[in-house]
Amino acid sequence: MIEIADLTKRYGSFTAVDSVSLTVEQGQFTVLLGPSGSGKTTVLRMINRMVEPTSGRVLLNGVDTATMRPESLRRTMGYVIQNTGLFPNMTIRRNVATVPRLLGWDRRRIEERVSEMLDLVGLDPDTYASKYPHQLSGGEAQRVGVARALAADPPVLLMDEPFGAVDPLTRERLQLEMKRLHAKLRKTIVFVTHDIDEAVLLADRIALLREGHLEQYAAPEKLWIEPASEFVKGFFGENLGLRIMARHCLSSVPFKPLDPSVSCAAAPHVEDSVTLKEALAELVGAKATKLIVCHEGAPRGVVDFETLVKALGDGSAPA
Amino acid sequence: MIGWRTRAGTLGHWAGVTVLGAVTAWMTFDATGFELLLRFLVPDQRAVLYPTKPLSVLMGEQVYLTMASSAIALVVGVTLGLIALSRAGKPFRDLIMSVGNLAQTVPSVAIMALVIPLTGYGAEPVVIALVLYSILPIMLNVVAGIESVSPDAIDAATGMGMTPRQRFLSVQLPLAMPVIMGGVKNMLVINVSAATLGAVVAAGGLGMPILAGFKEYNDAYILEGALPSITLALFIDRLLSPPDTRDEAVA
Repeated sequence: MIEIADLTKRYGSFTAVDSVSLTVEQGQFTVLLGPSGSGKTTVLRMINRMVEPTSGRVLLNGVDTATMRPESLRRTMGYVIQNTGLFPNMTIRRNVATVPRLLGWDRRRIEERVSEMLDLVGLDPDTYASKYPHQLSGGEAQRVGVARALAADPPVLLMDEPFGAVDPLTRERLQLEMKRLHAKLRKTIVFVTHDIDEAVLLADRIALLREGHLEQYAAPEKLWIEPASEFVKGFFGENLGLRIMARHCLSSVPFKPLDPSVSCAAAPHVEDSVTLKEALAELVGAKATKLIVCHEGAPRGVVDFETLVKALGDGSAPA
Repeated sequence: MIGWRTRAGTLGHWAGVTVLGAVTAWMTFDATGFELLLRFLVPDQRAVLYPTKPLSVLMGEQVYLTMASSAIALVVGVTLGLIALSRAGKPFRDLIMSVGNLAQTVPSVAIMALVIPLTGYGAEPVVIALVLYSILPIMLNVVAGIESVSPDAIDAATGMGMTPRQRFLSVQLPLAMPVIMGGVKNMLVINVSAATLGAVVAAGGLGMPILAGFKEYNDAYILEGALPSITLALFIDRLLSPPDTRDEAVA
């Protein structure tokens, strides 16, 4: 758990971060979101003491990080940055092994861990371990960056616009994989971005910053239903509802009951594994008022527009 | 993933190094053979080999002058470069740089003339002149090399918990090495030829037959000193140039 209390950073007369307080629960995916100059990266860098706060504290599991040796603190937090920061003079194997080597793991354990990490991020160790960073595509390099950050199994992962420099298609795939990794590993993640879609897709909670101030810190659904200010409302815009629909799976929605004799092939239908947004698109595309929800070809219920919207409207839909 | 082109590049590189090394060694140690070559090149000259000292001794002196001055310049240049880069040295950086610059503007011969009253004739004035001349390029390349390291790599190294020392030794220094080695190579190549100046102040070296050739209008002596000096410089240049191992990036 990371507790940020009254964190402030001033550079001369300029206040980059102004008294920000927020708590990131164990295993929670928190996104620091905001326009450029909002202080989000500065907040992130104060968590691992790459930037020392002017005032305020960061507690890691109740311990004030100011009392810890910065190097030891950083070795317990995976760190991923936009341009990967892979070491061009080292193979992928050596890059991924960085923190385990700093921690003095033995050779065999490191070798096993490197293979395991490359597998985890979808890169074949036999193909990639001996390559150098310049031989990788942007997406592959960023996967290695994530593998390297996770190598010593840190409980916390800090990510600073990690997918900002890759092409949109790759970015989307990396985002989905990040979501999968988080679901699997349950790391506490603090993730900086200025991309609203990315934030809404990935975050358990979003901290929206503006000019160093924390505007609101809440789940995306709550930001939609109860925006704390006009700025919050305006920042997310009209599309937030639709973006939130992309977060939820149709199977999480209470369907309307269905006449058991209806077959899936007979009428417009969707699989229950799609997102609400995809179900809505299907509904509009089929020019229908309702869809039969199927699970591996067997009908399970009916959804219509009202069901889809209500699923979000009360804010109860699970993240 | 070493392609044939990479392997061919490496092979060609080492072939060049071997040939240049062998030619230099041949001229140095096979006096009879080298004499035949000089007679062929300068047919109308009666004596083609400088009589005072054999070429192997002259080469030894040449290598000594080059290595002694380069080693000292390397230590001083790297130290000054690191001081200029350090937090404490930042304010003095311009000063250090301009002192280095100044040292390079003074002609080596003038430096030798100035230090001879203090050191007397021999190797010392040459070594001092070459050192003063070589410090700047080494220092500049150390600074340029370290500063060329990508800030992202440094940020990542710090963020993953490397101490400043670990970061310097395992990230900054290796990444700066090609640039620093480029400076070392240039220094050695320049010093090999510049060490021929030693003849002027009785420090020996390959400059002696050249100087004698001047005085006695004997082109063969000049070639005897110049040819091994040239091949030695080329040998060092090739030896320290990285082979062309660039591999095509995977798309």
